[in-house]
Amino acid sequence: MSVDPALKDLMLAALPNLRAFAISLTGSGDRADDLVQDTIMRAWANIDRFQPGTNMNAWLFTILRNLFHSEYRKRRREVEDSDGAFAGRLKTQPDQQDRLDFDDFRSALAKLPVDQREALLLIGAQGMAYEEAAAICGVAVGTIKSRVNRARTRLAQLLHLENDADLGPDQVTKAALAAE
Amino acid sequence: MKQQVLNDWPVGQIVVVPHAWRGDGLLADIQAKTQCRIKAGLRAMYADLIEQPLPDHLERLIAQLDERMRGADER
Repeated sequence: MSVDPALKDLMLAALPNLRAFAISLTGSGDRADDLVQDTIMRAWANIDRFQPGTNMNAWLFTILRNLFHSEYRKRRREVEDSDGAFAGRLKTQPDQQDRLDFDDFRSALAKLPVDQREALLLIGAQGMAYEEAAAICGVAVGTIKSRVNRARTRLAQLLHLENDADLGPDQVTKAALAAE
Repeated sequence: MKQQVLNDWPVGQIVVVPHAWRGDGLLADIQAKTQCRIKAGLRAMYADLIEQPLPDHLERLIAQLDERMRGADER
């Protein structure tokens, strides 16, 4: 039995997104690569269960997410900030940049509870619909919305963006300071 | 002369703090800006990850699985 070349192409095309999701979920490149490899092998072994015409991306994300929860989470190797180094680093106010530092973002993501993290990644980063993310996570749409909302709020706290002072001085203040 | 510390705050009295100079609209604006920054940061971080080259073993994986399957079929 051979696999339809179109399905192989879909799997190949999904790899970068799967890897990005896995890295963001695990906080580790090596773990993410293992997770993606296991996902592809699992998908390949069960390719006859994939219904042509349905969403290959969603199917692969579901497998990856289930593997993460069933095997990887048991190891309890989630990134922790035991020494508070990350928290200390985050106290530095972002330098009025539009895009926050990626490392800070990844570290802050790692501090979110895993259910909130995956919901935020699927919706906020991967750009999935709430319904799609809910199907992948096996929960109700309302649950996903709630998790995304909590994740955003927590992320704002972790990145010290929860008040106007942390958004940086406004243009008038900056101009006044520069003139001194 | 040092000011004496007054400790005569009546117990149970409700303290009403006048509404600050910033309005609710400003707070909503700040929250919206914060969420925009988070969204932009998240998307940018993710785009950066997607653009990273795939490790060789992952890129070869599907071809290897395919070869393995064909080999098994031939046997």
